Amino acid sequence: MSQVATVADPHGGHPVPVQKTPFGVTNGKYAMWMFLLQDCMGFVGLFAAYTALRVTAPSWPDPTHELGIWLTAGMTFLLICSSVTMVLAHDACERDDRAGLLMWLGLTILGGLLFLGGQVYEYTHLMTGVRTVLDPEWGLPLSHNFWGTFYALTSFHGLHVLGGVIYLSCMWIGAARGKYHSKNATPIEIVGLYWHFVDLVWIVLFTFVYLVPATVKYTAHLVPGSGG
Amino acid sequence: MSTHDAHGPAGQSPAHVSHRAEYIRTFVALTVITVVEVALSFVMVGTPLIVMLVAAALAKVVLVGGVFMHLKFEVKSLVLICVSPILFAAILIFGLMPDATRMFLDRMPGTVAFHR
Repeated sequence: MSQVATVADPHGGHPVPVQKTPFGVTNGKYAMWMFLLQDCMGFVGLFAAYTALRVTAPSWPDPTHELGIWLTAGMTFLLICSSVTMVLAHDACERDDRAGLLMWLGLTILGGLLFLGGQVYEYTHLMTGVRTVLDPEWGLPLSHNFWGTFYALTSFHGLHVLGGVIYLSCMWIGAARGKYHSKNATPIEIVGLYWHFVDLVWIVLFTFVYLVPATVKYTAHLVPGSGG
Repeated sequence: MSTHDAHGPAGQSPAHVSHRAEYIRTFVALTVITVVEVALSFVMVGTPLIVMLVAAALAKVVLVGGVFMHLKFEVKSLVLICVSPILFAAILIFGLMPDATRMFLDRMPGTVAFHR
């Protein structure tokens, strides 16, 4: 299935064989795409459950009222920034700019860490903030599917961000040791694919979980035990 | 074929084509769309808002997938494989809708469940 090409060893050694798929990409990159596709289906399952639960719920609160939109809008901006630093890291690697590679990779890691910090802050605020489940003014029980789906989707994504930060940190160490350069830039592109996927999922998640408003409200007719 | 990992048969890497300007343009576009999305969620309501939000999210997904994930520079067969989850997502989500709608109608006050 794969074709074998060679790239010159930058240290003057024997040419290094590189396996390529019929799609013109390396096996590693193709494998990452396959991993992302199956990971994507995991998110699709969660989104399908979210949609079904939301549509069937007799009441669904307006997310803009229950969740901190400004905080998550900032977190979205952070992920977008980290995506652009990621592609700039790959670009620096292709140009043999080691200092640039380390700087942009470092900034990408920082963006991921800040995003995780924002998520921890958000969770802490939601769980221990002024508007708790004991507040009669709030009226949205903790058992409401709104919270179940919210925490399932955002925490699953958060785990991906955490995994991405660890993956990026390993790549940063490799880059600091001079492992990646213009002749071996594909691993940087592969970690970039993963990181952009994490960004892409957040874009969809932010829209559907945080921004899409409640269109039908039957709050006066809540059915006990309906889970909604 | 990706311009980023294409190596010639003689083992020589071709001159790297930098897309920095395009990356920056994409970054600006993504930021502007996000700001517009958040602003719309405060000034619009109902179905028009949902349509606008879904369109904005779709535009952002295309930008990230096309430019940042380099799908724009890949061969078509790889692009088709990579966008296939959209089809499966649609089947999964819309496949659940008949049941979901029935459950919703059952719970509405004054509605007689038609399936009983």
